[in-house]
Amino acid sequence: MSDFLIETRQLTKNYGDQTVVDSVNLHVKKGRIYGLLGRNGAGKTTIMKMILGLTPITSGEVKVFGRNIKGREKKVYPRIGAIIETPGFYPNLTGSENLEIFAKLRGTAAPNAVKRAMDVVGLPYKDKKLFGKYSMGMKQRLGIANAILHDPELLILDEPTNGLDPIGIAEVRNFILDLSKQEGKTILISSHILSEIALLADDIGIIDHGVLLEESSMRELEKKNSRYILLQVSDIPKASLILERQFHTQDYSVSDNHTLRIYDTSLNMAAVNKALMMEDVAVISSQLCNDTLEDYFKKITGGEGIA
Amino acid sequence: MLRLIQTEFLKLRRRKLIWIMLLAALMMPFLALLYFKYLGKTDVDPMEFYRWAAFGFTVFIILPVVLGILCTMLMYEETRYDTAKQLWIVPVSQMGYFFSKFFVVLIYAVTFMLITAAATVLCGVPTGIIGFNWSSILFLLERCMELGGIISFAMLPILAVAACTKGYILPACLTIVYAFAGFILTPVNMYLHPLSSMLPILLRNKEMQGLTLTQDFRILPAVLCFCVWDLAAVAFVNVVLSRRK
Amino acid sequence: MDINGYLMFGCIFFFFVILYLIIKLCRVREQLSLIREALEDIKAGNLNRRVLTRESDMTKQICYGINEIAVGSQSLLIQQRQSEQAYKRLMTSLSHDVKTPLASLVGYLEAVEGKLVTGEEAEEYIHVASEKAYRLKEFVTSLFEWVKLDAGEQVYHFEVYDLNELSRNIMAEWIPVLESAGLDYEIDIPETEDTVRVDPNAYTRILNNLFQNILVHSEADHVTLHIAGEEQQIGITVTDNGKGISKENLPHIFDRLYQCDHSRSMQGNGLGLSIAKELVNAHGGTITASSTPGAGTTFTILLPKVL
Repeated sequence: MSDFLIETRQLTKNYGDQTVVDSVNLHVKKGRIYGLLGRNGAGKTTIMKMILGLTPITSGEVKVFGRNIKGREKKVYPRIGAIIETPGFYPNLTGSENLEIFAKLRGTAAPNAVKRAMDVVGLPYKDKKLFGKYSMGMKQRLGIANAILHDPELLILDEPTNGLDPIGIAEVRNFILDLSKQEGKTILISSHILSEIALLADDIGIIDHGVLLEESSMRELEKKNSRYILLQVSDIPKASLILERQFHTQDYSVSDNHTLRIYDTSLNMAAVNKALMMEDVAVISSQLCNDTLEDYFKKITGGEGIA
Repeated sequence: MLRLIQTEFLKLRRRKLIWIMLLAALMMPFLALLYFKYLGKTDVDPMEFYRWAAFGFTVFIILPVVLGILCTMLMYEETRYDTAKQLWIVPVSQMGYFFSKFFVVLIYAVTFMLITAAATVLCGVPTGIIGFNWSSILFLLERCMELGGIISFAMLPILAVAACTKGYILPACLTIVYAFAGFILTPVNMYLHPLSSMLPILLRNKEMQGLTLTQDFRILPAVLCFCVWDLAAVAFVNVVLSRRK
Repeated sequence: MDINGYLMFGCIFFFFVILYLIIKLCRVREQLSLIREALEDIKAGNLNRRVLTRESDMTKQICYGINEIAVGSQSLLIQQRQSEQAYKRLMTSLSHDVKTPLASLVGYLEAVEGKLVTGEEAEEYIHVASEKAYRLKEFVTSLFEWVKLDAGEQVYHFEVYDLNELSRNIMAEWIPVLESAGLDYEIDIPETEDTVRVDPNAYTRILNNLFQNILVHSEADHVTLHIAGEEQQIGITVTDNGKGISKENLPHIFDRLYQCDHSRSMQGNGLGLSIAKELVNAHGGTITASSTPGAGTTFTILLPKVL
């Protein structure tokens, strides 16, 4: 089996003559969190629906667990947990009764699965409250509980923090991180909030008007995010002495024999260069790395930015 | 399949309308009671009383309408609260889903008819309108259960339409049209419509007198009518649901 | 009813029994093939695979058992991988944490040696250099201590002591340090005797590290030590009124080399609290922290009493 749990090739979806998803090649690696970032209506939900077979594919193909999903639903679905849009449940039943129904239909991986799932998302088990009386945040939590009820390998979460309060968002975020880091689950998550994805994802795909603009690992992106002055000089000890004595900063680090990063970006680069030259330290190169993720996204989405 | 049906019943918990609709089963026996009391008749032919209380409007108008509402409700709730989507990814097969709903309708119809039967006996015997007679009561019970079963098959097309539309207006209107169409078509050709096709099945042994109909009672075309309508409904559901998903 | 009627009835009854059994058999076979497939997957290394089962299944216990084994091995594997990663991180940050002060140390010494500075300035340079050297030494010492703790090679000499007496002695040495740093202090140690099995050196180290941490990071001007014996355990709380620790940082403060302020200033080394935690754990106790940003931080150590 390949390392990709989800792989799409030239995935396209048309509604009438409108193209909602255009030749998307998505690669979700095993054991990682893949963040699908894009504005509302960019096509995130449609992609997820096509992956799950909830809506017909116009052209292209989807592979889940390395194989085509069509015709193998019975074997593949039990290994996936998903929330698509706002999760729907029966309003005349309580939260536990709702989950009980899905546990009965799908089967569970361990005894007391319903209680466990509800504990994990922080909902009371065997509560008398009917789903119809749930708040938006509670509904979302129940949706997550249903997605993890059968301890699936792959989670597909469409805007799971929608409707949650800030504390709830942080809770869900930590819990998703735990699922990935402590249990090794693979997670495909979508969001229109950059900071949300930046905190969670290992890999990131940016989608705009149905087109996947960029797919890369978060680590790659983070390199573009920090602000520092990168100096390559001939004599590191001397350079550090000058920084400390003349510029009174200790906020720098030495990465190898010739490279030095100054994190104190308030320093005037020209002045630093000049001072180094004056003291006979050859400056091989100096550059200001000053790019934020936001700037970066603005650049690739053509100036519109995300969220 | 058993599991699906079981969960279907779990889903109906705390639905008051379901119980309220069962009250409609009491309507015709009660009206029959009033009617015969008004006429001051006692010791009438049980079949005559049954025809009024159990087999008349109850079977041809009230129960079809009630079942139509039930079908619409069962299907509409799933799309309204977006639960169908959750079921597809369990996965639940579309046909399994459809038949489990049908099974609920079937059980409901049989329950409804049994209540009607009980109410008919309770309205008839203690008031002296009909005499107590085991064989006629057993006949009533047997026919009621049979009708409950048959009528749910007759309602299959409505269930199919409800399953394939997202709203509730179309299936609800269609139910009324369907029920009255059966009523109107009976004198023309009863083998065209499942609801009117129930008549020959109901009267197959000519136990009931007093019905003046121009046509012969033949079972085969009636059964054929059911088969054609139901197969068409199932095929329709199969095509529409698999395309929608 | 005659004999034929009974026979007929019996036949129909048995027909249904047989039908039921056949269905049951088919279902068990299906479940077994699912189990086989899952087992093959698990054998191939996919420890996230679960076998789903229902309350009524005959194979329920087997499935639960398989899942439990998979969950167990998965969490072991992840733990292992995490400690490997942590070790790698340690090595990278180590090379960085040693290299930077070393480079500037060399810079200062070169300046003195090359007679670039003379007189008082030279002496100041040497002073700064030796301070840096001491800090480096301290860092290396704590690092080795930590490595020893982490590898489980630390040898403890546990003996039964009166913790209150021990704490008073330690605090006696801290009072002048606190005074010279301009901190108000409040020490509340009961006059009674509370006996605990401790390694006095380790215990001293724990308190030292906590106070050191406050001194370096908290910016507090008031610190409280409060010891209270309970029935089973003894609680040591150290509270400051400094800047506190933010919610995001709080869960990580006991991680090695974790520093809340990401500036690379060279105070502290990110090992103190981590060492304190290891030591407290070795005593069979717990250490926790709670904090209100802007209002201060409280560290609570609970040690089991000798009864």
